[in-house]
Amino acid sequence: MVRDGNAPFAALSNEEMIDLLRRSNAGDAPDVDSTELREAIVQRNIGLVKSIAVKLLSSGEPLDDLIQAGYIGLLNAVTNFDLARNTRFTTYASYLIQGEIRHYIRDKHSTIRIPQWVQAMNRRIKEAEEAVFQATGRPPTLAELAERMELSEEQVTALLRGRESMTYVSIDKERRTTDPNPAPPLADHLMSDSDGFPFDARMKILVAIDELGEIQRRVIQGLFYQGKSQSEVGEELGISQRQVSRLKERILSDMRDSLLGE
Amino acid sequence: MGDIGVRETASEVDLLSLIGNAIAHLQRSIELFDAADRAAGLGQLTGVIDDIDRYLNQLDKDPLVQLARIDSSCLVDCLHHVQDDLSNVIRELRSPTP
Repeated sequence: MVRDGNAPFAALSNEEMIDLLRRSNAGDAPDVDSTELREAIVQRNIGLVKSIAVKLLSSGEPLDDLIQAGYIGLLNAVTNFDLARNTRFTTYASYLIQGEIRHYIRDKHSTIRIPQWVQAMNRRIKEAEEAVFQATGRPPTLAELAERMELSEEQVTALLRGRESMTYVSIDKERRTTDPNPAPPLADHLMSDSDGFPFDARMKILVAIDELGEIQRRVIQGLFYQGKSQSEVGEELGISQRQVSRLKERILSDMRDSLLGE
Repeated sequence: MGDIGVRETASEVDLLSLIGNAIAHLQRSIELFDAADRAAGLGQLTGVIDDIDRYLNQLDKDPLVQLARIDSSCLVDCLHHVQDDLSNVIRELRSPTP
């Protein structure tokens, strides 16, 4: 039985619906109501969220809360699924839903203060995992993760061990009872490079580079993708259209030089 | 961008130049630490912190921030955060190893 909201799209597969959603968002399918379509995709796959949430009930968290967390994973999957890859949507969505629910459980039960750089590295691992999963349709190998994160396999292993210990402690009630104060994956538990350059110092510098890169991305996005004409921007800022144009030209020129290493 | 082995000053730079230079210097610092040249690596980190300080002092003169519609207070927070992280690294690397 198909729900009402699904009816107009009942004949379409998940992948076809997402393709339609992409085209609708790009303005190429004016007859399609993208909100209705997105809702139809979610309705069709909400059973997947529930089935994964049920499997993680041993965490002790209410089912509704787990479903709510999984729902975020499903929405992320709808947004980020890459149609060009040879992966089924449900496979990708399952991966993200499970990750989001585990993340929720981990946050909920975390009684230890996780260093910020470890959190940042966990985000990097997650991004690298998702990117490889999208590309190959399977979880990444250690070598693939290391390559994407620009780390050695030993360093990635240490990070994964640290993350795994946090996840395991958080979702396993029995172990939590017997080991209520697990050690966080501090730098000491990871490794030091042989030349005395501590691993966490390297990670903190890499995180700083990431943060600066994020600001850079926001600036460029603000400069070139806000959909306003140079005249409109100039008017708002109290400078001429010509000054806006010159400024953008100079920025582009600097970026080009930087990319070309000049 | 010049030779990043020789630090450039950040007088009257815009935000993108600041970030471009800072990223280059941070990458250079990692290379120097890997090459066991700790003093030079620390110099790169200190320089980035100083550059951010200088930039923040002239932030309101940077047209890029207005042009890109970046929230100044958020930007200041982000750059302070980067400075704090780098200061921690410097402190850690300067403290004697047990």
